[in-house]
Amino acid sequence: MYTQFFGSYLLNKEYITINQLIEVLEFQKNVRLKLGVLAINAGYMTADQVNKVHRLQLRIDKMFGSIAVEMGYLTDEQVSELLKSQNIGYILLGQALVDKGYMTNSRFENAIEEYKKECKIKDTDFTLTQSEKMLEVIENFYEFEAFEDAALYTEYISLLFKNLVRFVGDDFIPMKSITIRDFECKNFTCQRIEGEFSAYTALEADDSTLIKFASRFSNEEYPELDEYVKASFSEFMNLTNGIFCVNMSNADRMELDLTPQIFGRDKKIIRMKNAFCIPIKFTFGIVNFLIAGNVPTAI
Amino acid sequence: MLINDLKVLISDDSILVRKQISDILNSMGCTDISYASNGREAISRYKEIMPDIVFMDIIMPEITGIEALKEITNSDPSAKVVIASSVITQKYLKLTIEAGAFDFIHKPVFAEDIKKVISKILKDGE
Repeated sequence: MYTQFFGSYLLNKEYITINQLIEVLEFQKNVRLKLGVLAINAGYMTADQVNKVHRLQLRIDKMFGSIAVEMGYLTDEQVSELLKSQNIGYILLGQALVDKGYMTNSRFENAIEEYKKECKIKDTDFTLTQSEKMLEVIENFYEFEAFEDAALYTEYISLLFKNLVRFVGDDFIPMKSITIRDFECKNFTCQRIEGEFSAYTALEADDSTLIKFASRFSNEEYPELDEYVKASFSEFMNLTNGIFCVNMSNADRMELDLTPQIFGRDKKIIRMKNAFCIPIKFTFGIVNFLIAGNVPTAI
Repeated sequence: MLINDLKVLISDDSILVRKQISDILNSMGCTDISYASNGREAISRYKEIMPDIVFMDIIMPEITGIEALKEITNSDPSAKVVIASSVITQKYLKLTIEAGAFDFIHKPVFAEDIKKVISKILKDGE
């Protein structure tokens, strides 16, 4: 996930354009090294063990390395070693930008140093503390301090991005959040989290983006926007919110409830309070994530 | 009991999840499958067809899966209702155990989970 936020940083600093970044992400997604592949390559795990961990990862909010250690496949030291070599993925983004002629080597080197300094990232942070450090990166990136539930918003957003990587793909760039009150939606799915922490959550996308998002999530090739596409979009929202509730419950922090998800089309969500939108730029289109502190109306 | 004798009811408001579970069951040779898209429908379908197993989501419109589970186990204490949900929190776990849930599956649903539950049911029926 550092790669996504680093990409966003390069955009905000206007070192590269969005089209250049999307092109590089598209190119890079086929060559990024996964921890499982590295573990097999190092002879630490079999392909079968890697598959077992990947499947568990789809339903529990833990990193590959943590699960592999718990299952006795890897030691902490091995995970640490593999994570260090996994940073190649992060370097690959820069390498691809340089190869394409969009950045020079020195500009890339400077950008990486600036980014680490601004986000207070040390080289060692790219290892086992990644999960906690990611919360800090998100906190710095989005500046939720104005919101009463800032810490929970940060945790939620971190989970959302992790789930996007797990279930849809990592070829996206999270953009800066935009404060909103009303929002015109082409296709949207929404669900409320209720309890000690209440929030209205929604995802929005145009037709072609929605079809591609749903196809990836369901591992099906949907040719058109049908009921299965709508259900896939809603199920992703439901899965993310469900895991968030389970995380809160398992940590003995709070018990939350969910309302059934609702899919809508060509509507305007109005009168949102304490609300913002995070545009998530995938290589196939933009998915907008909306969150509000109240229960708005869709007209 | 053989797998192709099993009568199954899948209760989930998502057409996607109903299809996913149904595809897995079909691949195992189980074809007698009925559907409900909310808790109210699940209760009436249960009484109508008396299935051997129910896959029940928790978060559904009209009547939740928990209320439907209570109603079903009240009317038929031998009912085998498997909770299949993404929101199996401690609170829901307690509530569903108290209401007589037979087993639990965390979403997303995988073939292996369904197979395990089905083999438990078949063993019980022996």
